[in-house]
Amino acid sequence: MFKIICLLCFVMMCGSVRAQTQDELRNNKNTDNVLSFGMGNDLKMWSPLNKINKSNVKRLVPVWHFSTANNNGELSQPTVYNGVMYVVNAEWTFAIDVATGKQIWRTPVNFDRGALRVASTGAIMRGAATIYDGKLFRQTLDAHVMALDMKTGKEIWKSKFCETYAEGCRGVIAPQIFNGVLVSGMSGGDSTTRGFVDGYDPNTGKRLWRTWTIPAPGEKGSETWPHKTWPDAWKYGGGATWQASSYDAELDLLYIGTGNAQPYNPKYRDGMDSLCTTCVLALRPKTGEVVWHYQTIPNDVFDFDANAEWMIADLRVEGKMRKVLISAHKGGFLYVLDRTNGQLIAANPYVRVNWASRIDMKTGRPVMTDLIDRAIKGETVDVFPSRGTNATLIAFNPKTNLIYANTWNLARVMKYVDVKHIPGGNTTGIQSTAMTPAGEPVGHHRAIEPLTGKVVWETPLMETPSSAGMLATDGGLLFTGIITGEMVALDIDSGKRLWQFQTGSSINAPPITYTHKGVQYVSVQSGKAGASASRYNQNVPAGGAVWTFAVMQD
Amino acid sequence: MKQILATALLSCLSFACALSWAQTADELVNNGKNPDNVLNFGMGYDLKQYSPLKQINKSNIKRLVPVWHFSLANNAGEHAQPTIYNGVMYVVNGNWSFAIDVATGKQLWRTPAGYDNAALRVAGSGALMRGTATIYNGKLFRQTVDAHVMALDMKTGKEVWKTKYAEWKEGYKGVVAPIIAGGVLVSGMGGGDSTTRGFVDGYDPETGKRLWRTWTIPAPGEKGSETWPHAGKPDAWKYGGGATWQYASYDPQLDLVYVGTGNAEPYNTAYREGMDSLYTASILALRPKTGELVWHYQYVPNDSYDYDANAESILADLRVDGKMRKVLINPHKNGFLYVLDRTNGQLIAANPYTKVTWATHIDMKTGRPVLTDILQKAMAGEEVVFYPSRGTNATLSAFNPNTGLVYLNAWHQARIMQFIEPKLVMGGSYTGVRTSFTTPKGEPQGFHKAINPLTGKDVWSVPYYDVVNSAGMLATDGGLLFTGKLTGEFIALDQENGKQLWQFKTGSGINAAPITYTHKGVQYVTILSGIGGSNPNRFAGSMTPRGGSVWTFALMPE
Repeated sequence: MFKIICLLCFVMMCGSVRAQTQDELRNNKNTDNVLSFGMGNDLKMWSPLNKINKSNVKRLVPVWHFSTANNNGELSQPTVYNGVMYVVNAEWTFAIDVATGKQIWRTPVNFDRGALRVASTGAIMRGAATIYDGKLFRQTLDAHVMALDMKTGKEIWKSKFCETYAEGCRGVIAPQIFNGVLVSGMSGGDSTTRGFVDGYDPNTGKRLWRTWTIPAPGEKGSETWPHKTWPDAWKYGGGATWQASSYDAELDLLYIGTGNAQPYNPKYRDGMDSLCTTCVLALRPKTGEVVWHYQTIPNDVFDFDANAEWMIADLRVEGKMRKVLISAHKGGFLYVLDRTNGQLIAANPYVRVNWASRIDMKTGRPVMTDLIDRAIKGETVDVFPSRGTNATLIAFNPKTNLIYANTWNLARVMKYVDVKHIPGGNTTGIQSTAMTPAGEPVGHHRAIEPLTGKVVWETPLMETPSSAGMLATDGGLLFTGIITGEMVALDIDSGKRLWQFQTGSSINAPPITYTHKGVQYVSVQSGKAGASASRYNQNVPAGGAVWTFAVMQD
Repeated sequence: MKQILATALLSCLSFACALSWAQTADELVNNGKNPDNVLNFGMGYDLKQYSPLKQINKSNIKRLVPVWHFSLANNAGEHAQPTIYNGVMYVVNGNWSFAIDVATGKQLWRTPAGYDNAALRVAGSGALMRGTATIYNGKLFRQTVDAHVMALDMKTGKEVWKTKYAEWKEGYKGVVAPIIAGGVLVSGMGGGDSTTRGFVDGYDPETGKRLWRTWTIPAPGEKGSETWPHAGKPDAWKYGGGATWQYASYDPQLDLVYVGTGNAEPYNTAYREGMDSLYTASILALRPKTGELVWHYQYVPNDSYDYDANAESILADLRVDGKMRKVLINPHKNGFLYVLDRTNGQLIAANPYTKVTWATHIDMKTGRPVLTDILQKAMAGEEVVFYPSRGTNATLSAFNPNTGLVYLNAWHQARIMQFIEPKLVMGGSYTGVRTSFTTPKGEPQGFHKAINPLTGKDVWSVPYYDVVNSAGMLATDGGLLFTGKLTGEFIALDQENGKQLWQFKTGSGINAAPITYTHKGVQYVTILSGIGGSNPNRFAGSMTPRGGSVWTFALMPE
């Protein structure tokens, strides 16, 4: 009772202020607000809103548009709090009036332009405009994490998280708030970096902890690195943390994926497991303690980052409800783990896979085909998939227990080469292109059963694959986008395209939906970006924007 | 009979060319007959910004929605107007040329402008481009900021020819599209606030060979050179301004191109000894084949207020004292709305259309403004405040031949100015003033207006308070006016009373002019959005993000 009264007071007190509380982050029941990435800390990308639905989606129209003055691409998701939308990209931070689409403030990022040298995909920003307790938190390309005042956009604090960006370490992912701690990753896993996750005091920017994704010699797991033959391999071993985390408040665990092992060419790591690259780590946000880990691909040799977000859901497994994590892994397997302990529950291919025949359910390790041996012998090999999805959010419908993903049908054509160790340079140790067999779709919209990997429906994409996030709503709709710029709505039961609108640049970001004064809106950032998407959109101009759609009044 | 034959011939020609990318001189002259195409700037050579289309009208405007959007990958601003030919839209800005499928909004090709980036040093307001994506005979013509004029293949976007027309280091810059008139590519220049001497060029559109150059400032000994202080300031004429940085109108029957010239330079009149300084702040009627100056009229002799006469002139036929006259209507930056006889440059009317304090009126006999004491005070070294800073801001006004009214976005803003000594640095600013701008607190920033051009009287006037307006105006037979705001809203007004009937907020500021056209029987409206240029950025830059794009609107089906 006391708790209820207290909460009420608090909400009343804070109703019109720009602060945003821990409880709100955990219990976002107010559909006027979108407080965190992925439509909630479970990253389900699910909304119970159904005012926009199959029967009226044909009347969905843009209601306002906001230019983000940025040609480097839009990969982020807006947040919405008390009628204000917050948007980040690599160049700017914005606060926008949700009702009118007018700018409230904008603040340039002002990063050191020298950092562009180590950013092969340009200055980009993933995740959301993270907000908490009156502050907006973001990273900058030149490896800083910072806090701005939500009301004014003025800088409150700024902390450097890598001594120098010159070794390849860069900021491309928004930090997140879990249990009062600002948890912040890093990028640069294709360069000469050693991955880590940081925890900061959101009030001061003081670093509370750092958890390296690669153990130093002597630490637990260091036996998976070739300390004798390649004594420095662990220092540049990859395992970057360049996508977002999910968080289970009851278990007080955050789940973050780690990137590829570096170099991809296993020669430079003596073909060892290389913990904890391509892992999912369960961390305690207050301390950074690794409570459990699961390595998806010991000795990753194909650039199979495990960064694709690990979605939180509850699934009935053999008659019993289990607290699970679901990830549409870049390697083409759809993993389901027990999130209390990291135990593997299922791992089935959701796209064409030829590098492994299956995942051994006992050991949790992939059973390799001969592809790796042929590659090590110096052959050029076609690896399916190059990526199962492309670094964006999938959606989950708790009513059907299906996931919805934009999958890629694309092989990596790869040959190992020698690595030149140049700090901040590319040290992947491969020559690589990409290929889809003639006549085949380049990708699909798919509905998939997470436990079996079974495709319930699919819609082929013949022109370009999709790098956009997926949003599922109780209106029977999926919202997503296409690299050629179309914002689309699909029938959640069949994948049929019910509606589309041509935005001016590519959509490679996840949409959100929310209400304002009783009306349901859908918003998405548009703006071509990123290495993989750019291969397909030579014919699409750059240019960032926020779009907001609603159903036209009768 | 002869006319019928000609019409028949024209039909044949249109028929034969329907599927080709070429576009003929006849089509340019007859733009408007086929509403699927928008072939010229200003919706026609007469720059009336008027369309007889009325599918979109007052009764259904509420259902107007965006149907596609196209990013222009440009943060330098969008000031141009698209052209449309055979289902393809052509768009230019300072950094790119684009061809876009009208039906889908998808890119057909894009070509970077490819200029010397160092030229941005003399381009105070950045690489921007006014006018339109000029198309003719299979080619698209444009300028680049580093003072080149060029032709691209309309089908592929590949360069056909490129001609340097001036040295950017001297302050010349390419900011306005050239125009095709009588088969000649007529091309102006920007840089009139710097150390330049204005001119207009004629080029062979096929080869890029320059056919003629007409200087807007006579050299010593030439006609008009007596209006420059050759004894006291022997070099003044060399850097005297008179830039030609906006578009021209063209009367094919008279075969005359009408192009305005910019301010005298420096503004500070001491450096020109207070002389008239021909042909600055003037309108020139040129023969496109030769560049011959057929007549001129100087609106502001001894311009000391930055009163460019570049604002485009509308060509119309008006009944004056019971007689139909071929006129030219110019909403001048100096606040007067001028009506001239376009056959000979004779002044017919000149009335203020916004608050004016620098002159009391225009003397109808001499055609010269009757000055107030402001200029004398300024010359005495005083800081002066005068209206207007500009009556409109370098964009198109509209004229509806059915109502006989001019529709425009007027500014209500004063310039605060003090003369100082200009420093002559090649390519530098050479204005000789310290300046800022003000609108008294509580007063509107400007007005949407419908004006009788012969009397200058408002038929209606709707104030706007939040920010000044730099968007062009478009009038349609649907009873509508389309225009925009620097805060991004694209708006439709009731042509009868100026009431706002509809709006859509685009992502950046609107400082361009809309077009309307049909495709497969459906009426569309298209506008470029993207804040840019010195005044839009000065007055709205902090509240509006940059970022260029094309917007296309149509009615949502019932």
